Amino acid sequence: MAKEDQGLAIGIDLGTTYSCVAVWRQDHCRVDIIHNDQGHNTTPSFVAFTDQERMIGNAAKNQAATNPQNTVFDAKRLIGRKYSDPVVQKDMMLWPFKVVAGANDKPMITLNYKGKEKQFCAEEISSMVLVKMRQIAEDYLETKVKNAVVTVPAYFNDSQRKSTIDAGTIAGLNIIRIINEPTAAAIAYGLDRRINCAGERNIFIFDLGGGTFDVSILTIKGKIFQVKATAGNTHLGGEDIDNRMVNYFVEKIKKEKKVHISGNPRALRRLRSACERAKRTLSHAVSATIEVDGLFNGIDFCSSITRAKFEEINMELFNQCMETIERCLADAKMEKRSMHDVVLVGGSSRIPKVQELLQDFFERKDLCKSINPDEAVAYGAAVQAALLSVGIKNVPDVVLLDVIPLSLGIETKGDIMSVMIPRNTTIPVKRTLPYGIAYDNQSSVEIVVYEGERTRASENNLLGSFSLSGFPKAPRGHPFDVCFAIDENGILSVSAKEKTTGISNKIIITNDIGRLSTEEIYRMIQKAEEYKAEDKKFLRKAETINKIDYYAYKIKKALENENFSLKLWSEDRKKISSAVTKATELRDGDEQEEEIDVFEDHLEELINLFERFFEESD
Amino acid sequence: SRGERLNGERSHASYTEENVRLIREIKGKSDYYAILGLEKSCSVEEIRKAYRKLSLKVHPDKNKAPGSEDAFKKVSKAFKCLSDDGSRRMYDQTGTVDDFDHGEVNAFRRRRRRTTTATTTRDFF
Repeated sequence: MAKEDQGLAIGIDLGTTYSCVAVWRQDHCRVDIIHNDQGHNTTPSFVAFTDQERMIGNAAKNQAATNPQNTVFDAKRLIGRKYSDPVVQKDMMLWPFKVVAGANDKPMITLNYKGKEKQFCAEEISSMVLVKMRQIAEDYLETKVKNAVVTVPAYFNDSQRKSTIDAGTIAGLNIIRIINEPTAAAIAYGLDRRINCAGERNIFIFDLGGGTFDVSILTIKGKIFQVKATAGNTHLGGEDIDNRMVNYFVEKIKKEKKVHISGNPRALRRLRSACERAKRTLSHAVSATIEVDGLFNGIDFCSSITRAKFEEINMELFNQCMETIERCLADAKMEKRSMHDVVLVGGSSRIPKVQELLQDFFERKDLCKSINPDEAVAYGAAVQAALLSVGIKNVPDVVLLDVIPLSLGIETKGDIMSVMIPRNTTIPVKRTLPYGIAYDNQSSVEIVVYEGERTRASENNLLGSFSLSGFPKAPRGHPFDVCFAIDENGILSVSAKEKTTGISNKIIITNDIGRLSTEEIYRMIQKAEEYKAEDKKFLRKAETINKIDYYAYKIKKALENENFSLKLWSEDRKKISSAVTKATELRDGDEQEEEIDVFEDHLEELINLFERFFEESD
Repeated sequence: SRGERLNGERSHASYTEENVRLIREIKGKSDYYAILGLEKSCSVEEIRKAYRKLSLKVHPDKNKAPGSEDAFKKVSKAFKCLSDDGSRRMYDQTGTVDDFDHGEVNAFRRRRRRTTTATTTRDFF
């Protein structure tokens, strides 16, 4: 416990497809990107369940083809969304795991774990990935870690941000701040280039990741990182590129082999993995082969794709990126020529066509590739985590002035969205505006809070509502104040006040549609603890079985030595060989279901036997 | 809510007398120019410089004294108004920027229409 209080805080880039964790090392004055148990700096955001165990990260992704229905990924595409959201409906058709509608239209992932049907919400799956990232950090730092800064796409809306915080809470983490991914990447870039950064520099961050796309324009001057504008698409990334490739090949197979593989999750998963590999190859080669042996009904599939074809099938997505860039520049009221640096972030920014389009657009050859596109976000998060922690030394002295990505407002008469805080306003921010009642003698008002850019309020994203009642009898237009306050995490609270009577009401937009309640979160924390305990138990059992196997082998080997074997009393020999037989049964048999005690007791017996009869003879 | 962690735990941050003094100073001012410590005749560049300098001192990440968040919001508000030509002119003339009625609010929430048409234009893939 004492170690926790040192306030060591990590930065976690919780990605759609991969996650990354980093930490500020005060003694070395630098950020360390932390590698996982496989030696990789990024960990797949995958969670898998089997009859026996739960797996997170590489282990989960590696077995995805053999267990597609119970391997969950893309939780970030579900988080903070409703089941009826068309985006969710469309994604579901491509996921091999099952998603059903839960209470309040919340999407629930349904799968089999240890032979029983279980349901998880996206927050729970993300929390498992966070637990894994925390574990990776704890193993590396050899200390407990409680505090973390977690990044989200800049274009994440209010509910997606809050759900991410909930995921952190379920994971038992103390989320000290939610920061935007492109902003985090800008810190990484800005600190790297600090030396040449005497004047004011305009930075354009292009962040095309596994599942989301963000662009941000920042001005860096000395210690201040000020975000001017941000834009993006929370559903555009490498996954969508893979999807298009998979579809292309599914059609091709249909035409050439006359088979439909679209209903076969295992075949689709394997095809998808092959496409993902080919996509990476196409970043340096002009063509790539796709080879999947025994893809479907014994058919070995072998085909190839050229870079030109790849670009053709994805051109629509690339064009969407370019439109977003223009929108962001317009919002910032800045010229593309005034950008000093164009920084590439996210794995998909490696695609040559994307780089080419950017070079053409910005009319410049030099895109900044000096930072690692897979790690920059976690790097920035680690710096911010250190900045927010008490008593961390040698932290670069910077201040982030970030903005909200979407306008916030309330519904006024005639379904008109009245914007209280326009998008790209620096946070934290507070604004109070007067409104009037719509009818004579109206005794209450209903404050309906929306987020989005549409003029018609109901076409925006509903965040919540509350009412203010007990108004005095008054004519139409009688005034009252509405106040919007947004904190450093971009989380909104709304209050309203009638001045003459002093009646007021307030909501922090929580527990609203789709958001988890405190009780639910508590229950999920309990559940997470249980799963963690089960994982531990599984590991302990696996280790015990390994040891049993080891001792049984040693004993068997020793018995094969006749000189030694003859020296034993026959009773002892019988006892020993029956212990070895039982060990084999335990290892291979159906007794895996047995309680851990059975295994541990037997291991103890084997060790005793080994020590008694064999050790001194060595 | 300064100093409060997202999941409710409190941090124990320390602050200096200088931190407190600065916040008190900003709190006592209402004129946007005064908040930024500028003359009415100042240039846009001076406004930007002043904002940056103040941000470093009052931003809640840098200044842990109570009230820093409100002070920062005030500084941001002043900057936002004065950094834009249009709103600066309006402020110079009227001394305010947004003190008029913004609309009328109903007593009941209308039934939310479920519009799905707007989102089905993208193709399936």
